[in-house]
Amino acid sequence: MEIQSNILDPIFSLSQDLNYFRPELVLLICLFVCFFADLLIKKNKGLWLSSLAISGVLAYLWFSYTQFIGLEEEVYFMSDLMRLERSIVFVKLIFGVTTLGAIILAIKTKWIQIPLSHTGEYYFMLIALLLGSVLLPMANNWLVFFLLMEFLSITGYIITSFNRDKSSYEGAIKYLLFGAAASAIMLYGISLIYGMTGSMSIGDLANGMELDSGLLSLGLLFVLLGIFFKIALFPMHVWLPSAYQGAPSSGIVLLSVAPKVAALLFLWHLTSIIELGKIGFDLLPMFQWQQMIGILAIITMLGANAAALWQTNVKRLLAWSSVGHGGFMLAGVLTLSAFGQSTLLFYASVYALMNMGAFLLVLLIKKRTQNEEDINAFRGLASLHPFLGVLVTLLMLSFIGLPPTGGFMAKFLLFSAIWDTYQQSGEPIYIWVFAAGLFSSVISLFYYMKIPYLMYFKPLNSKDPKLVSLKSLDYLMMFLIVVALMVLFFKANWLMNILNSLNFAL
Amino acid sequence: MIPFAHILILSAVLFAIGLALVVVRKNAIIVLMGIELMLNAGNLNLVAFNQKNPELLEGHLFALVVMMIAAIEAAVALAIILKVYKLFQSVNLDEINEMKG
Repeated sequence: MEIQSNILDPIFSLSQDLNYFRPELVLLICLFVCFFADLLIKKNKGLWLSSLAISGVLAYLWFSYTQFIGLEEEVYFMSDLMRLERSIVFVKLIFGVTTLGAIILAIKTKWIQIPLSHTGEYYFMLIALLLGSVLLPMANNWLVFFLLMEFLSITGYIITSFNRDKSSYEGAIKYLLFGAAASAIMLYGISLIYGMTGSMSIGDLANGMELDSGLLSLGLLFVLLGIFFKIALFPMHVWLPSAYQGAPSSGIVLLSVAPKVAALLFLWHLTSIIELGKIGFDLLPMFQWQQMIGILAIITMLGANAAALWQTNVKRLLAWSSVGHGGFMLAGVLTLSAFGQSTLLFYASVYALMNMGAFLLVLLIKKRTQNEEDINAFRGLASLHPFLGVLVTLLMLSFIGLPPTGGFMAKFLLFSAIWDTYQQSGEPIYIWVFAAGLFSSVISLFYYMKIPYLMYFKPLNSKDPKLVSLKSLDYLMMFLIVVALMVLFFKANWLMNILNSLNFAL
Repeated sequence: MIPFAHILILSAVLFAIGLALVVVRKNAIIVLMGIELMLNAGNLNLVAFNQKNPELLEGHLFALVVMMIAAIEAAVALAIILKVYKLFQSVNLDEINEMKG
């Protein structure tokens, strides 16, 4: 009898481990239900599919919430292939809410961009992207990590090509070739790390300091390049503006938040292991990883905000701003303290909200300009819709990081975390990151404020008398997003208290 | 047995050829071929490094998974390249560049 129980042991432990996967299993079921509903349902397809997708994501949110309450400390499961901690469960909630926003935007756009018959496929891809990004930060094994990075990339390519027009495919092919090359480089890096540490477990990297570190640091550098591609940071950001310009707006709402924040959390885990193992980058002897990441964050913040100044296409402008926000969040990774992690997650939540509002706005003006998304479509809009003008101004203030919005609190907290780290360590790189962050916020003032400026101070274009027809749902969504941003300013400590309770260990 | 260093040098050369193809050539299909070469260089490394810890077979398993992923990626890539060819009448990457800035 004893032998039999030994055989069954792995199965018991597997069924226990599956408990940690409850939200993901719900998503998996929802994925297949959407897929088959797309094939089987003929009548009222759009309504059925969207309600199925929304209820699936709501169920996922519920299970994530119960997991959030139930989880106490970091756990390793599936024979140490995966790990879970409360900060990861928190971003699961952010991603879920973002997906809900993306689905609602997709419902609004379906007759403009995506034919009704395709919506099932589209929901399938959105939920698959969500699934990949909630699993990625949980990876504790290079194989799992590589698999999930590819999962995210491939769903990303397909979502980008969903508009099915020239610019969409152009964006998709740029994204694809760049992404495939980045993941090939990353694979080579992983193979070197595997060779040097002799183990696929990411945690074993901490023992790496006794090893021949030349090849190890080369491998780490290659892996970092792959992660930087996902977050779209400086040397690996070139694909992003075109991909975002071509992709459907509802897709970008998710694509610009979920994979980025997931990769950032993974980067957080990786850098804390590098720090733990005291791995130096021997190839670049004067650099520790702090210097390297700090310099890349500085270049990303300044470069992206400067590039956004010249844009006339709203989506491209938002794409560059998304690169810039990636740079800010990377600066948060530099701190590597518990407070730093809380501020990073705060920033990510605010950013997800702002992004949703911005792409809702893109959809609104898209109706006006026949798919041109030109920034001049905002001319004089405030005289037609004064309330929309107020909401948009508040949203843009939040993007810049001015009060009274959540964007201000996010930047304020992030910068104070960097300042704290500077005071503790005294490394000059932190002060440079701090200064570059402030300066690029000032640059961003000029291009974000362009939109309210056009709305209020330019006359209505007389050649284009067609009014934007605003439905009450548009107003309601915009209003809710802006109110949430204001609440995050006046009651920022609500969210910060939750975030501070996430992690005591670091 | 073939010494370790030989395999590493071979894979490094493969990787370099692949990277050079990706950087230099303008034809999208050839760029994809370069990417496959880079993936295979990684695979070769993984299989070779498996000798360090042979009973776990981690490297071999990884190489199998990479082959599967490469096939998936090629399927998506070729589908997109076909569409691009239809719309742009070309697979030259310099010509598929209408969005700038």
